[in-house]
Amino acid sequence: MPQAEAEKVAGWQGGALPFAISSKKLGMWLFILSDALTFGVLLVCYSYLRLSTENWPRPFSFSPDILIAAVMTFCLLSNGLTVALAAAAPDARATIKWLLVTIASGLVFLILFGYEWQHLINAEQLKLMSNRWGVPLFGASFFLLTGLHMLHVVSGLIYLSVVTFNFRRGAASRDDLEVCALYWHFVDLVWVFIFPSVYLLSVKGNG
Amino acid sequence: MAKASNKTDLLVWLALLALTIAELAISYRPSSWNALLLIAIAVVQAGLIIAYSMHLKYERASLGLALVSILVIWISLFMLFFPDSLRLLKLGTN
Repeated sequence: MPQAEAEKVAGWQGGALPFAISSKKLGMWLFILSDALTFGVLLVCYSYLRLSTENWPRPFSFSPDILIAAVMTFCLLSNGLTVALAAAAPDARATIKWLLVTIASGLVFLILFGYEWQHLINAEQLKLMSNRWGVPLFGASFFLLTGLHMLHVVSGLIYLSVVTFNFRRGAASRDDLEVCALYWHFVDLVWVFIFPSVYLLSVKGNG
Repeated sequence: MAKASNKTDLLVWLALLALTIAELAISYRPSSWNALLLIAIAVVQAGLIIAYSMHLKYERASLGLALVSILVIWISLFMLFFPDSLRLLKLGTN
């Protein structure tokens, strides 16, 4: 067997690094695997409730609801770019600069999220277990799904801040940054499903 | 291991933004295909994020194969529950 082929075969036979990634990264992938199942099941539940309920509410007007959700999407997608630029930056100064931009943009996302919830609760009378459309499951599923995502964004910001602080004082490596970026991209990944299924399929006056 | 360059990251970001704009345009067009189109676009966006942003394209294939289990579970759940939700709608039990 040629040497190159033998090396390739050996790589598939397990050993210390069967996936050829660090243990930290493998740990994060395993976490993402389990969390993806959690969100997957919640999205299936949401879709089930939505399809099986005849008068499912369509409360989201273009302004402010959809507009705010679109800006939130822009913030999260841009976060994905800035965290990737931070991980790939040639020097520590540029890395920290991009990490701070990511944190700032994540905070904007959270502020908009808070405003959106406040608007729905006060102006649209959307509560956890009741609403003016008479479909209590709408509020329960909306707040559970978006709330769990918000919790992930808050955890991500804390994680990112700790890694930035540690990287600045030399206690975190580029590998730690990559693992943190992996988590942050997962938060983006979940949002690209929440945005259309929760917001865009419930726009006011369509359907 | 090769990684995505800054140019690739930028192109992926632009593609994700363009797809989001397409989603917004679709959601304001009255059509019975909206749900399917929006989910299809979300799947494309997810593919871009997993492959390029999360670097799965540059990892060993065995890692990608290990993640396929989630896809199988999701598809099974949808296949199982979607027909039942339509049955419930027909019964009119809210």
